[in-house]
Amino acid sequence: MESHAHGLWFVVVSLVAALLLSISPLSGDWAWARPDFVLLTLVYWLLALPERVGVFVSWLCGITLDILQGVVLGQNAFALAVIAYMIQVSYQRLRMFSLRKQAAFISLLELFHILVDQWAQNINGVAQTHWLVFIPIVTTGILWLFLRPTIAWFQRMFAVY
Amino acid sequence: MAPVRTQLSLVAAPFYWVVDVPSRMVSEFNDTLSSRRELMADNERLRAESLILNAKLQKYIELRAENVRLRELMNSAERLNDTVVVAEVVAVASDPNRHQLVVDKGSRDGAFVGQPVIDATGLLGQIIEVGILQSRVLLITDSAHALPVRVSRNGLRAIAEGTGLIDELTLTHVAATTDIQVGDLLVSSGLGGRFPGGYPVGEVTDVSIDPGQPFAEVRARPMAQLDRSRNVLLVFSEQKSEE
Repeated sequence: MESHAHGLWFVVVSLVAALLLSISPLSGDWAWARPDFVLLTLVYWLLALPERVGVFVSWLCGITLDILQGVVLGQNAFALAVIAYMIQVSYQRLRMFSLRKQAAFISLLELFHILVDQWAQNINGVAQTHWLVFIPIVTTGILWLFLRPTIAWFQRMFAVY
Repeated sequence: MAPVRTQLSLVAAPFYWVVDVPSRMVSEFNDTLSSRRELMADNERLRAESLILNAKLQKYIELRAENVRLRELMNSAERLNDTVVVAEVVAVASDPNRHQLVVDKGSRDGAFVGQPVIDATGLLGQIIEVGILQSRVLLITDSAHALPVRVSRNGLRAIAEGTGLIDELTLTHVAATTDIQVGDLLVSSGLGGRFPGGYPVGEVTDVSIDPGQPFAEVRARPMAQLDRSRNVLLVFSEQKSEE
């Protein structure tokens, strides 16, 4: 079973799309509410294809995000790799969760991601932490409710496994 | 780490290119669909503008010659001419906490770290990271940015710090008795050697003096259109470009 991969190009396409969405310009205050598209897409594939998408893919996405955002190299890579590990050890349980429970769990992961970001930036002396940086916790959680069925539909359509 | 980043920024270039597609399409769409009448109106306006600017330039040439003469009289060095290169903004930082732009000129075009960036109305920021094709600009309003300025009315020197708000700068350590007023124009002073002197930086919008505080609280609005400029200018001062 393991060797018969099919449609993995869609995993790559979805991750690239998530990276693009995370740097696309948003006007003014909306930028504060930008959901963490990369985290959501990664979590989906970590849950759906744990034998294909793991810590390394997450790390790769993170380092790309670092380059795109021009932040400390390894900041997102570290956060996403740790998140991937957390999911790898618990995906069997997480899959059983209801959609809403999963959303709540992803909000916690996003909180972790934000804290690592802020920590790295403050060490670097870049930005002062403003409470608005925590808004993505809510928007990321909410978006999961819509994103999981959407990607699942695409996964069925392109027979990704 | 810097050379690694320079190489890695090649990975980023296609991403920025794709993200920029919608805005390029919109501007192309507008260009194609603008009517003949609009184009004629535009043309007329630009002609008038060009005429006015040319008239001003005549005066400027005269003034420049006079300035050089006076400087010679005073035995001070002649000011160097700055040359500029137009760059296009291809991306803005996705994190609203960081005031940064990505422009489409890199080390291939001679851009260098620390290079001043201006737009048509004032000083915009400086380059902090150079890739091969693109470079990253730190805006003067970023909370990590500060630059030396002087008040053009009386030559008073101060430091303008970014606040993290796109339309605000603060002047730090301005004594409460200082002669500074709302409406004063701040220009770059050239001290520190990073920015060439004389470029407009901001306009003082608020001076509040609290007798209990040792310093006045002075706020200014940046002259450059930090959140609107699509085209920016990279400044090559003659003495800096070999850095």
